[in-house]
Amino acid sequence: MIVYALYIIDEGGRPLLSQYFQSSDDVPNEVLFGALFTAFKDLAADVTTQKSWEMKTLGIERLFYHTKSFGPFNVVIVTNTQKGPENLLQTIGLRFMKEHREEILQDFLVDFRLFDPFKEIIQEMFQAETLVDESGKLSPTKRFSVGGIFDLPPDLQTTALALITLEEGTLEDISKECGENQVQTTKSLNSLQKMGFIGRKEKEGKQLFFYSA
Amino acid sequence: MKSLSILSHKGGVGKTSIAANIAVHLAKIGQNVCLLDTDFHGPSIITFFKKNPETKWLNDNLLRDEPLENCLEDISPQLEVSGRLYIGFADPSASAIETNIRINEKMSFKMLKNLMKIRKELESPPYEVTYLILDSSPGTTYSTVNAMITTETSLFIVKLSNADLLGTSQMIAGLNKQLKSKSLVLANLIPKSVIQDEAIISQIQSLIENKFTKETQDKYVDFIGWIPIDESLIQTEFLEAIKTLQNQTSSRLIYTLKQPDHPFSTTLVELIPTIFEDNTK
Ligand SMILES: Nc1ncnc2c1ncn2[C@@H]1O[C@H](COP(=O)(O)OP(=O)(O)O)[C@@H](O)[C@H]1O
Ligand SMILES: [Mg+2]
Repeated sequence: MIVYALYIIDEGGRPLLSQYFQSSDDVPNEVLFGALFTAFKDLAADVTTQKSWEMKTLGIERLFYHTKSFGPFNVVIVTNTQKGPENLLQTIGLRFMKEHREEILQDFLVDFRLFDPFKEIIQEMFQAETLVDESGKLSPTKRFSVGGIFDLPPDLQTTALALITLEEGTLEDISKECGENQVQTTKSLNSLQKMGFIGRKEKEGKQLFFYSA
Repeated sequence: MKSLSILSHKGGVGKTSIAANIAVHLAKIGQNVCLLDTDFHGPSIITFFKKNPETKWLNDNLLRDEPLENCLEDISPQLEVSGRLYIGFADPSASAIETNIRINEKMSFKMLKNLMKIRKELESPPYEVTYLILDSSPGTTYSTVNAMITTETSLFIVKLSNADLLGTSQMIAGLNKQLKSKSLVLANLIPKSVIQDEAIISQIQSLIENKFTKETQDKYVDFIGWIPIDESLIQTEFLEAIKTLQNQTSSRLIYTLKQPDHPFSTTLVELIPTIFEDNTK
């Protein structure tokens, strides 16, 4: 699972905090999202029999919005998978409740900068679970497909296929799988990264490349 | 490991017969071979070999991540050949074919990913495969593209009819961007009388090479040879079909195994080094 963004939105649809884990514009901005979210929530309340506190998932354009309500606010995590990060939603929600109960209950006039330290907590939490792309170049709506791979120039195709075979790997793993030297592989990895196909994360002190499918 | 995909514009040009006969010949001379039926729209490798009902389908690995060991069958004891021949069968049931007709982008990518993983797994023990052969479906479908992407050599089989020549050259032009350094063309089902005349043959050969190479601009498509129409082959197939109609057990004849001196076998076996660019005889 890859996490693309996180929003915390109050009952009225006002964004309290938002965090994006890639540079692209593929994920809606917080104000727009806040409005969409309230509309979706009302709709969901009308058409489903789910309890209000259960995790709900909505998939649009290959992005999955997982949300959980914590009374005065909702946590939304955007990922590439239908299966939601239920524990993570729970942890973040409870933690946010603990740290910012006061501010949330103060209906308005909240200084949003108050939430900045919480952003760092989230960043650390996601990094620890290697759920986010640290290169910031992975584009959530750009995924490898048979046609897409077919259209790549031959050298990039070799690199992409090697990464697909390995699922994820270090520069060394990937160049070995391609049967070419690391300079060549670095060049192709950079190009694929620029195109938005692959991300990078740190795991046990190693830089790992990965892709989202 | 050497890898080959067998492709064509039209169906019924001999892809499956060629794939099965090459695979068996290589196993007969002691190579470890893996033959995968990636013609999910018209599975037919199964008509040449007896599959153990316990063995899962290749579809189960590619679409449902079933471990490879459960989806490959080692056919070599059945054939009494010295090398090993692993076969991944495509599921011929109506529902499996239906699934493959309605395939979406996500599923076809999953199949590509798993094909790449199979490739990798086959190189290590217990398989240690030296030759991987993919029998693909006619035309340009996602499975053709998957087969081409995962193998180093693509072999196009053509029949010398106008419809097929035109179609194949258009298919090659369409795939042009991704044609490998080695794209080969083999003509099958050629009237015997034509093949006997050296002059006519070399003239037709250069015409064909011009046709395909012109379509692909800078890339060269190698024309590697001819296989004549064989009357006895047609007859044997017919008799096997009758057996099936009469509910008797039947299995298509593998010439390189049962009749190595038959022209179909000798012609094919002579082409093998060219196809794989090596000296395996
Ligand atoms: N050289 C040949 N001479 C006579 N019949 C042939 C020859 N090559 C293939 N055939 C027959 O043509 C039919 C189609 O062959 P097959 O291998 O199933 O083609 P494909 O896989 O391209 O659909 C089969 O009945 C096969 O026995
Ligand atoms: Mg066939």
